[in-house]
Order: sequence, then C-alpha cells, then structure tokens
Amino acid sequence: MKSETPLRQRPWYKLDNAGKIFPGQNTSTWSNIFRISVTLTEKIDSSLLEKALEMTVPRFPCFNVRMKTGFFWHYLEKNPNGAPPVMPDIANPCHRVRWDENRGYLFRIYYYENRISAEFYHAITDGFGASRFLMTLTAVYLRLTGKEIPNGESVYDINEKPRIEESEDSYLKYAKSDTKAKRLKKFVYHYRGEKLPKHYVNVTTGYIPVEAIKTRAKAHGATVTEYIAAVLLWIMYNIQKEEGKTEKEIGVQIPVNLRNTFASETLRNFSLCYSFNIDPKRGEYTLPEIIRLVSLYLRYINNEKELRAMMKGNIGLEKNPIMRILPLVLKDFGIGMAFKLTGEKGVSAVISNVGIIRMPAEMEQYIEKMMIMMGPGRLNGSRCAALSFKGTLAITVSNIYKDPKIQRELFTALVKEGIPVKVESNRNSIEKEAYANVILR
Amino acid sequence: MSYCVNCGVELENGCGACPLCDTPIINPRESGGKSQKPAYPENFNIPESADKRYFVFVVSIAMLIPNIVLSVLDFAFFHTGAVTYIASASALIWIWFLFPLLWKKPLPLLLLTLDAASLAAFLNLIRIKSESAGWFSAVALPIVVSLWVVSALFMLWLKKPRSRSLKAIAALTAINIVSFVVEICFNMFYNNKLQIWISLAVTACCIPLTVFFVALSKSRRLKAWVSRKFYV
Repeated sequence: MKSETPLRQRPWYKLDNAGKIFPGQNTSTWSNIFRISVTLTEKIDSSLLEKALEMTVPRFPCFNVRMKTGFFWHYLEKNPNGAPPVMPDIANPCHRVRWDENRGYLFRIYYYENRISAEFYHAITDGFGASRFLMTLTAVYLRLTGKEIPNGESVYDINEKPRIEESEDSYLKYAKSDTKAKRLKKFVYHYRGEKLPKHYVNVTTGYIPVEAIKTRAKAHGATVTEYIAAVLLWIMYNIQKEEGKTEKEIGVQIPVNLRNTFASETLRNFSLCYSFNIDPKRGEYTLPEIIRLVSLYLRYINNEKELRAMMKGNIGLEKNPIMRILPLVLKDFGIGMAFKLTGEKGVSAVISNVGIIRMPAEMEQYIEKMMIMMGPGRLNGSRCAALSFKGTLAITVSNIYKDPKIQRELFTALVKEGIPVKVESNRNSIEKEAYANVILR
Repeated sequence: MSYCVNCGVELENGCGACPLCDTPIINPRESGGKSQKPAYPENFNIPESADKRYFVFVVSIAMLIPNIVLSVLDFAFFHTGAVTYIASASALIWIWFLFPLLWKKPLPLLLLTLDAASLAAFLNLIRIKSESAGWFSAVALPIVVSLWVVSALFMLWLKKPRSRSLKAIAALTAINIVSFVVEICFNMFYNNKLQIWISLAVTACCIPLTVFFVALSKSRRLKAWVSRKFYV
C-alpha cells in the first residue's frame, strides 16, 4: 500500500456536470452503477488479473480517484491505494457504493470462470470510458498470459502518458448556446411488481445476431436503438392496457453519446438523454406506428444545436449562484428529494446503446462475448443497456422485481418479430437463494 | 442447445427452467452431455446496512445536553420546574422518532402502542404538574385511545393489498369515527351535553365521497371516464 501523497501534490478533479448529480441520489441501498463484462475463451487467473489492474489503473487518472466531500461540492482526489481489489463475482451486481469501501475506488473488478466484470459508479464515467478501461485491462491481462495484443481502437497504450483531453469536462467546453432546452417531464406509467429484498437484482441478458435485428429495424426504416426503444414502449403500452388502470403516458429515455457529435476524447461522462412519450389517451397504437414515431422524433431532435441547448440547461443549474453557495448537505438533500419525487417518475423505460465495441483483430479471437448492464432503478422496471460485439447484440434488462415480466415481454416480442434471442440470467442463483429461505418470506 | 417451448428463446446449456417463464426444460440430448456453468455464481454480496444506531446515539446526545444544562440551571437558579415539560417532551420525541430506528425489523403495531402509551403518559404528567383534574380522563385519554384503536385497525386491515378506492373509503371512515369521539368528549366535558353536529357535518361530507369511491371501485367505465376528464 502506498503512502499518502502530500496534499499540495495530490491531483484533484471537480466532478463533471453529470457526475455532480449522482452522489446526491445515493441512498443506503441504491447508487447509480453500471457493469460491463467481457467473457474470454480461457478461465481467468485472478493473480494475473490483479497484476494487470495495477498496471492499467495509472494510465486512467480519472478512474484512479476516490470521492471526497467538500463544503460546497463533492470532488475527486487521486487515490493513493494503488488499485481496487479483484473480487470473485457475485450474483447481485451493481449494488450500492460507499466512499470508504473497495479501497476508496469508485469502480469494482470481478472475475467468474472466463468472465471479467467491471462495475463503475456513474459519477466518474459513462459507457464509453468504461469500455475503454475494460478493453485496456483485458488487453494487459491477455499480454500477461502470453498473447500478442497490439494497442489501438478501444485498447489504450498503458506506457503512454495520459492525455489531458481524456480527463476534461467536455460539457463545459461544448455547452455554448444562447438558449437553454426546457426540462419538462410528465409523470408516466411504471410497471410495479412484487419487489425482491433490498440489494437483490433480477438480471437477464439476451444475445441477438446484429444482422437479424438490423434487418428487422431497417424494414421499419429505423436504426437498432430506435427499434429497441419502440419495442420497449410497445410492451409497456400493452402491460398498462392489460392492467386496466388509469391510462398514463409511457416514456422511453435514450441516452446519446455526445462524442459522436462533438470532437471529445474524454473518458468522463459525456452523454445526454432524450425522452420520448406516447399518450394512450390519443388512441390505439401499433408497433410499426411507434417505431415510426420514435424514429422520426429522434432524427428531428438529435442535432448539435439541441444538444448544446440541453447542455447549457444542465450547466445553468450548476452555475446558478444560489446553487453554488448552498452547503453540500443541503444540495445533496435537495438533489435526493428531487430525484425521489421526480427523477424516475418521468421515464417508463431506458435503453442505453453503447454501440459497437471495436478492438484489434488479434484480441478478438480471445474474446467470446461482451455485455453491459445498468444497475436496477429504484422504481423503473426496465433499465436496458446494449452493446454489439463480433456480430452479436447483447441487451441486458435489470430490475428489482421478482417476476421477470418486462424481460419476458421484451425478448418474446423480439422472437415474435422473427429475431432469434439467446438468454442468460441470474435467476437460477436467486431461486437457489430463495429455496434456502433467505429471500422467500 | 435448448429452446423454451413457451417463449421461443434459446437457453443456456444445462438450464433446468426458462429464466423468463419458468417452463421446465427437458432436453434428453443434453442430459448426458457436459453441463455448462451458470451465467452467474451462487454467492450474493449483501452490503451492510448503514448503522442507524450511531445516528440515534448522536441525536440522543444532542437532545440530552440541553436537557441536562436546563435541569442544572433550573435546579440551581430558577426553581420553576418548567424543565419537567421540556424533558418529558424530549422523551416523547425520542420514543416517537428515534426509538423505531433502533429496530432492525420494526413491528408497526407495537410501535404504535408504545407511541400512544407515551403520549398518554406525557399528557398525564401535564395533568399532574398543572394540578387541573378532569380533562385528562374525560377528553385526552379517550381521544388517544380512539386514535390508537382506529390506527391499529387500519394497520391490520392494510396487511392485505387493498385498492386505492378502498383505502380512501377506510380513511374517510376513520376520520369520521375520530371526529365523533373528539366532539362527544369535548361537549360532554365542557357543556355536559351530547352534541354531534360538527361530526354529522363531517359525515355529510364523507358519505358522498365514500359513495363516489365505492362507485369508482366497482365501475371500470366510471374509472376510465374520471381518468380522462380529470387528468392533469
């Protein structure tokens, strides 16, 4: 264990604009965590993985941090503890984070059979940064096992000095607009089932051939993300109809990677969310109709000007003089209450598609599959994350409900559309725990 | 490879049941073959809950210090006896808000009983200190007991899931019962008359609302109409 660096020499970062919100949202049972996993063709050697992690962490200064509490804001400070521990995997991923656990690191590394999983607290990075870190870690690990893996694509050179642009807050750089986008959210429908005990999560991943889903989406004139978002809306619309309760609007949230629009190399958060609602009170909807609406809406709204205005709106809150001088305790309380009362209420489902994960061809042969998952929502029953790798799209749905209704509806809807789906889940482990009378009460 | 006959999805090798619909999977060709490891391990990591006892300890100390200081001051200089009220009010607050945090799995009915008993004791202390008789047994105690009975019955009834309309009807009935008890107690104590006019007015307001909620719970058409007409 390394000794503490003197305070004046210890680098520190302000949390980025998106990251400032997350600490306030933490509860004793929930934090905004996501997981990205890579399954290799060989079993993982934990000691080599530990060594690889120690070699990789210094290359990513914005992950080599711990959370500190200031008087007005939280901030990130260089972590003097070397690297987080490498732990055997667990069946309840993405449980809550605490500043003093995991040697103070805000990401966790797990291994299970052939799989390496990394869980990140959203305050430090998004799916893009996380995938770069995991791919670099995997490449370093494979090199330690004797494989020849070059750098390139998602694999960063660990001998190279970290670039300043990788740690920049790109929101501040690109939030240049004379106007702010409005953030009005209506309260929408939520599926509510019987909940699992706290800290448990229902995770199901569907592996789908990219070509099959792409062809189907293309037949409707949509992209894969638009198509999945529309299917999610469609299943929530049908579940609400089935329940026969008051008809509420149904909303889907689609995070977009801003690096596709702005020239940013940051590994910290740099994404924004679009929301699209349908109102069942306006009449009956069909799946092709919803796909068309989602597709047209996203193409209309997703442009540089809109994104700048959205960023400006978010930055405005951070730069507000009253907000700035409020003590952190009050800020966290306010953010926590606002999130509890309105945060998830405006979204019925989320689909975050990280896109294609690219890596050197020499590395691809050692990797079987990849997946990404968002931690379950406190309320939201369908937080979905997706990525594509080697022609397979992995969609993971996570929630805290005993009955995997959303997962079932989503994947069977795709099967009915003629798209083959292979599923894997942690339900087997949950069932075993239930039979051991731990969670069946 | 196996497929679920119900959902049509492909499943992991060696999977005993479909993770989406629990349909048992029997594939004779797989039974003798190599069983694949499940996608997730069997061990769970349940993080430790935040220890609320420290919070209770800190707040208790924060409450205790002014009480001790006031007691000393009152005993040494002022001799008013007002500290009894402050100390007993602090004790009541402690029982109502901090004591439940010491329980890992609180028993709501027991806590409610404790709350009612401590409130009655607090009011009785006021009676003893103020040396005014009558109001405690005639007004305060019946109101506390009626609140406790109504709340306990409501809690027991809510153990089974109930619809929103039924909950609203039960809440209206509870308000009505308590209003009768309060009015009867006050009138009997102050006027020695059995007057229930205010409570009847409350009942008059509650009846149409109850009828409305009953109709709402029975008629899906009315529910749909209300949700359309009054949505915000």
